[in-house]
Amino acid sequence: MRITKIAIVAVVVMLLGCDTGNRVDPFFQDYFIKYYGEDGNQEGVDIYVNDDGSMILLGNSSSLTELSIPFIVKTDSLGNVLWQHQMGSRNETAVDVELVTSGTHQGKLVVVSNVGTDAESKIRLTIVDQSGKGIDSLILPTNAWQAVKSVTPSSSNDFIVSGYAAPDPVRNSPLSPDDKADIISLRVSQSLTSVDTLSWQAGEHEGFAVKAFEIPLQGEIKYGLFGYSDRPIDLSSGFEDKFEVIVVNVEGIQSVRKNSGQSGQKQKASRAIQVPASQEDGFFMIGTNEDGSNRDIFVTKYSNDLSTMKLAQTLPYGGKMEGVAVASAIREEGYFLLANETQDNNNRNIFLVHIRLDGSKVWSTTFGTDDGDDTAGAVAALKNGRIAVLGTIDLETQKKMALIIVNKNGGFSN
Amino acid sequence: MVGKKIIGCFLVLLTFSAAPLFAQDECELTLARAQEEFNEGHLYGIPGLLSDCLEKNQNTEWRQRANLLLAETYLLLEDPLGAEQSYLNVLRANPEFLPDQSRDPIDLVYLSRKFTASPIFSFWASAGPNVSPVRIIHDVNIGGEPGTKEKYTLKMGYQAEAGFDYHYDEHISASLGVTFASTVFKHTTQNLFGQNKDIVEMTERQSWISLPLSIKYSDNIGRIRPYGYLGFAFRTLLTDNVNIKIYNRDLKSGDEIASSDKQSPNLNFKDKRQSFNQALFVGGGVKYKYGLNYFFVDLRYSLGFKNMVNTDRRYDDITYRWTYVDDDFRLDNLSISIGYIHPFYKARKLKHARTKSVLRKIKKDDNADN
Repeated sequence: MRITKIAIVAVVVMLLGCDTGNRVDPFFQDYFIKYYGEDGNQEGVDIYVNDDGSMILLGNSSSLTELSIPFIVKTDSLGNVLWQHQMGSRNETAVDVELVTSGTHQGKLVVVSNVGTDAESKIRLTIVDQSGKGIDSLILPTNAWQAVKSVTPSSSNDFIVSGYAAPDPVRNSPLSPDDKADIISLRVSQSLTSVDTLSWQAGEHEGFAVKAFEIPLQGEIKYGLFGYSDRPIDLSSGFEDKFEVIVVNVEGIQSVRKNSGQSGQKQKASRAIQVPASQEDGFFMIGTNEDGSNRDIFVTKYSNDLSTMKLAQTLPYGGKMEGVAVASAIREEGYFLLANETQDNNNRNIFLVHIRLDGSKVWSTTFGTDDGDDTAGAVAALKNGRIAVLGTIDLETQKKMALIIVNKNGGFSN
Repeated sequence: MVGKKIIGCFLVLLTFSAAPLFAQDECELTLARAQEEFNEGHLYGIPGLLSDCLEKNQNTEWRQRANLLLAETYLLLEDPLGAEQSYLNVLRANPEFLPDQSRDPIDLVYLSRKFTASPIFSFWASAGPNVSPVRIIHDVNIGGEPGTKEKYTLKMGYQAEAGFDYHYDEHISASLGVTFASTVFKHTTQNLFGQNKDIVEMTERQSWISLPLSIKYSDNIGRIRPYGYLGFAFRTLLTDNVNIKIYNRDLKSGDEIASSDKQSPNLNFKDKRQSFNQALFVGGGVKYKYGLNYFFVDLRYSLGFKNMVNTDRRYDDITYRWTYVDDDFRLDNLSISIGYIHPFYKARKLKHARTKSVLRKIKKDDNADN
């Protein structure tokens, strides 16, 4: 009898130690890697997080039959697909998605994309509702070659489109053979019925407006065009890429131009964000510092009125880095920077680093392998402290849009 | 000349090889004479008569009969120590010897109840095939689409096992063994990136060393003896190799699907697994008595207790290349084995003689006589 009792007690104790659904924490629900796509390859370029935690993933699909076509996915907060589909047309590359915050399309999404080829490129705006239904779209009429980097819904219910165009011979007279681009910013009405030029820069040989923000200055709404150009800083300077902010009013009249960068090296911006009050307000830019064959992340932080520049520095993390995107932390101090890290075999990995407000590193992590060319798209800080990274993972047989969600330390568990 | 030598050698060999047979015949004659002496009541000379043959004759059947005669002789001579020693020798010659109550003298039956030769330990070894059902704790998907389907398929592995049983009594024993097992299962993801599109097959081969500890209940009568047991095993993962095959299926034209396939080399998953695990197991089978030993067929189901997945390594280079992510799962095992049991019989005097039933019979017989 005694041996039977011992056996029963032992079995009960052992059963209590069994791993069950309640005993194994489902970390994978909060922190995960998920792939999205369809036939062919899909690359992730931008992410927008709705207030309810659902996410809009924007990318582009390519296959044997389609050179490039925008691909958009909406997921719940756990990364499960709510809907997904292609949009636009062949030879179209989506670059940015934003929420329309006011006007007739309030709550809907606006997507900007480049339509065409290297020989001919135009900008398209597409309005999509939260159920994925296309509402309206417009290819901006132009005779010039134009490329877009981002769209900003304005408080006056317009869309401010930022990018660059082929140099205008009139504005760049005499036109240099080295001149390849003019920074442009276009204003499109929310009804997609009117388009006008907010700003058309000249004097640079290359450059890109990566984002426009409304900036209240001297009691007036103005637009800050954040990007980069090789415009000479003064009469004694040569053409050298530097981060650049140009401020224009609603009529497009320019009032401020600021540069940041390091002399003798090139700094090319890729993304700019508006920093919330919790992170000392202002604007944060990320890009790449090119010093010969070296590549490092370069960042600049401006105050709200652009009067002070807190950070303008190269962040050397070793290896070849190409700064791609940035997000302000929500629960932590500082920013999450996203970059492409080029390996010795020229394949890239996705590099995520958390920096404090003073630019010092908290932690960093990489996603991807040396065997694949894995690239960064966008990063977003989520309300519960998680970090969402959208990128492209080069799998063995195809490339797929990847949503990677990690904890506040860059890991996949608590 | 040569022929004569060969014949001579043959005769010499025949003489030496036949010598034990002659000795056996001689001891048989001696035992027959001793039996006659016993029957005639000439008891005192019997031990001396048999002593030479007991020293040189190794035939177990003969030794059983001789020692039994000696035990009966000593009982009649009222030499209990001699009787007990002779009965122990009977059990050493035949561990399963039991006197027949209807044929043998009751005092021999009474004596037999003070002794046993049942094994304290038995050695066993077995081998056979197994399958490893997967029980999912949490389903983890690599694709975000709801239409993605996953399933696990059984694949056959094998195991070899050896160990010892400690016999608590004739029915209950505790068993401790060591098992080497190779387990295999397959995980398939379907409808990845669209209905009827990509398929990812992952085949995992593991090798384990386990220490199974169990309590067993066995029947102890008959040639075929069923048994059942319940136990717990500590398992250590030795190796874990995985092959992944990707069928990248895209629409080519119309409804035609073009598949670009790729198979991985052997991928080491050991770091992605928990190295130590435990299992509760239940099983049973039948033993077939063959001489003093047994053959057996055993069926066992093991319930894996712990999550197999090292969750810290769920997402790694495998995920970035081979479109695969682990579910949280426990690994069970269903095995069938064929084996052999060798009991170590030990003739010994019992601490608590089981003589009550004999005493009851003597009393009953006395009452019947009166």
